[in-house]
Amino acid sequence: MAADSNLQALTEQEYKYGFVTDIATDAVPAGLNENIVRLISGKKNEPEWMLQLRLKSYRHWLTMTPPDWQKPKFPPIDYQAIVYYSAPKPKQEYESLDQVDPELLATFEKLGISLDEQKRLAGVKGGLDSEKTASPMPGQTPKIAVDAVFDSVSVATTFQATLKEQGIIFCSMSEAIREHPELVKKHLGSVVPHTDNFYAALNGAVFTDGSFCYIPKGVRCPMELSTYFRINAAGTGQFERTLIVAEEGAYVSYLEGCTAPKRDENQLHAAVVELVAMDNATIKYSTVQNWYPGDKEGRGGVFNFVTKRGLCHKGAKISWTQVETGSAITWKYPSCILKGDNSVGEFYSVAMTRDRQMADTGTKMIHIGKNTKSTIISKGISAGKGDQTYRGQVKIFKGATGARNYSQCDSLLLGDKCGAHTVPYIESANPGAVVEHEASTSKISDDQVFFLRSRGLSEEDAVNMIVNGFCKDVLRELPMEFAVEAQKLLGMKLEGAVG
Amino acid sequence: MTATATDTEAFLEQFPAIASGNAPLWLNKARKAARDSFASQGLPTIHDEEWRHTNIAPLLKTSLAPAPISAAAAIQDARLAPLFAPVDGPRMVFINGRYAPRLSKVTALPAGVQVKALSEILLKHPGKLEHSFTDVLCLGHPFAALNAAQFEDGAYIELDAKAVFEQPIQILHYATVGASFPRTVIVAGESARARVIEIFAGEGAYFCNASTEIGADKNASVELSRIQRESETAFHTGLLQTRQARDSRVAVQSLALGGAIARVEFDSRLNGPGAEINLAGLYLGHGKQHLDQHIVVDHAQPRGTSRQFFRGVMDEKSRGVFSGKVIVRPGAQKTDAQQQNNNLLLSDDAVVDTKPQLEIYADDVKCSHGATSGKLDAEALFFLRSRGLSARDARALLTLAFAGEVVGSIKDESLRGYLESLVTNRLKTKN
Repeated sequence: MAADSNLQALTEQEYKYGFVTDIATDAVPAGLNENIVRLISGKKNEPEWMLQLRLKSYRHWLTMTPPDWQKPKFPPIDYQAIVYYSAPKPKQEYESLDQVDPELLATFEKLGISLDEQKRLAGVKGGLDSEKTASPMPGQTPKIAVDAVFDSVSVATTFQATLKEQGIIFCSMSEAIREHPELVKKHLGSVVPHTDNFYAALNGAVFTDGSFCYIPKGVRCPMELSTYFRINAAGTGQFERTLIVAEEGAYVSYLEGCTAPKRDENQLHAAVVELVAMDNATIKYSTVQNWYPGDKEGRGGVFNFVTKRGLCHKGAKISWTQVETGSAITWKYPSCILKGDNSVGEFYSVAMTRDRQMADTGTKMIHIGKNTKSTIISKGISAGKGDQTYRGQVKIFKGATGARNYSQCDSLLLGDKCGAHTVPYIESANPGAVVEHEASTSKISDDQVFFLRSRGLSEEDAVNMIVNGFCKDVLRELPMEFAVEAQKLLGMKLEGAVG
Repeated sequence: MTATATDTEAFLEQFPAIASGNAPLWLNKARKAARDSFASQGLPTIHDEEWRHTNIAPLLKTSLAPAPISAAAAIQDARLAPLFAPVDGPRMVFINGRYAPRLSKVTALPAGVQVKALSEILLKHPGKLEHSFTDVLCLGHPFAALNAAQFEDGAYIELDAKAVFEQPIQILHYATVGASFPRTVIVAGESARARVIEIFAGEGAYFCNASTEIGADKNASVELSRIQRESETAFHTGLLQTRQARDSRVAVQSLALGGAIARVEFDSRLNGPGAEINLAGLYLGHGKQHLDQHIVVDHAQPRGTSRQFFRGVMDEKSRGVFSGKVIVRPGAQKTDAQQQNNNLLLSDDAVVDTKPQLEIYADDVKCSHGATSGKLDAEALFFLRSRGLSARDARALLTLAFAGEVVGSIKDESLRGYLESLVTNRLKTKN
């Protein structure tokens, strides 16, 4: 069969977002010590309490050792070789787009951000006018508010004014620390404390920016909120911190997208995302992760070690959807703590590994409240020499009467050199709880390919269609624009892969 | 609570190193290597991934000095007889890990079948056992290393090529005090067929650390019933290793009823193409029992078949643990592996932790696993009550049906009846 040559073609697919943006950056020297932590805090004009939080994190981090139970193994990371702060040079207000650093604009264009949005992101004055007219009209596609984070620092946030009318706060974390200290103080670290794990402690010490989002009581956020992350400068790590708070009865849908340039070294991305859903609130968090995966020999690429966790109060719902196609190593478990009675947690994931990519991802559903429900749908696709692990925990506390979990984890193997693993942990301490886990591992069925071929599809299209069908349960959870992007991304990654 | 190096040292000091002038040189070497391996691996703690659900701290508080030889003298045949399955066949009895010929009955073996004490084999054919000690470091199995270092005696069963022995060979390991290290070695030659029943029982507080090995040559067939009915104040750890050549078949039924803390590990390797293994297990916990089953099935060659079917019923304050893993190595195409674990929680204080895992490196395979945890179906209970059964009887009937599926498939009627009566007796005392 042509499978082998096609698989080879797949492995030779280039990384589309591997460009480097040559932008003047303002960075601190490599390495980590208390002075660097103070320097980062100082550069961001942070209040004293924030600096103390960072130092507490840093001092705790010093006492910790990196975990080693994960499936993907990697050489030890030299934490003194990383640049912990790198920001594009301080922003100026521009009169028109012509004055903006053309490199920055070119980056936005490659990323597919519209001209209007580009103006706003680059800080052009006129940008504000179009922002006003862009508020969503009935029957019009809702706009997406974007917060773009380069290396470590948020470069711009759009639609702030429109959102403000409804009392919604959507800004960079640095701005939030300055402008809304009471909210940040109350919630930062409440879901992922600085003692949580090695990488969360590191993040707590050196995080440089991220997004902050606050939806007041009873407000339904009128548009998708989106953050765009990009690691740009060489030798930097990206340590962003995202905090989303939805007050009672509020609703928000949040999207996150990521890319990085091609580099030979491994770049570390250790973010922390915290979600707080108060009574009856809903937070939908979607990720399309396409960090640079390294070359086909496994050189370079991003280490994506992220802690994501949401806290559900009574009747609240948190839904994580992720499409993980990038990174040399993806290692994360977006989780839900179902503390309030009747709260709901969901996790939908598609992970695709190829070349020498490795992924160890899944979720944790912690059922504490009564009648809490969780659903886990995980689809893994492994090609080339890719290796992936679904690792998930469903924990039912004694008091979680009536708790219900359903997990389904399927793996698809394309080729005989890849690996797929499933490691679910089910811990139940309540007899009234019902927990079910199912998993299967298979290759693409020859019959399915044959059927589609007999209908005139090329082998490549047939596989693409089967993979898309395999992932359908997850992709349909994504907001429309993201679903299209994710499908394209998978198609691109699969190009030529026929098993 | 975590064990430290000092704990490990103090624990190990309870067992004087065994080295005898009569023993073959390789054995003394192997014992030392195994002892060093245990010392360097250390006592497992809940911080070890493979032990995160089983805390052996209480074991450290128990005195485990070796049982005096005299302890065996008080044990009479009448006490042991009811522990055996009511089937004909040879019976071997070990008291505190030492062979008790006066309580054993090994006669009328067909040609090509040997049933002997390990000590006798070591004396007369010292080379025979060397192969089973080539891997004594037992990495990942610290207690198996401890067994290799400290065992005093055990059972040796060997079937020549094409030898068929239909009668089950029963081995009873009975413990009364201290620590014992029983060891069983089963070797089935090409196309041979053997059936073994291993029973672990005892009285009082003690520590039984067992090791069982099955080697099945080409097209051989071995059936093992492993019945763990230790005293409920005892500690039990056991490792069952199976090594299978081409087209061999191994079937194991494992019943875990006793022990305050009891853990059984299965390490099954399908080393030849077309090998098949069938593991069925049932663990029934009550009181404050902690019952742990730990399984690794390793498909190293193509066309292998494996089944893991484990069920747990946890009552009162007991805790059940299941950790099962299927590994499909590169090249082990056409593997068919299934893994199923279902758990029934009968009380508000019972806990179950289950971790069914797949680790797959070949694409043309059929692998699936499933795990569930829940209580008795309310509608089924209602149906039985509407037919006039009391709530108690309805619960008992449904629980029995759930547990019975594991032993129900055993072909030998008297063995099945014996296992079913063990299950029924246990469940009846509760509901």
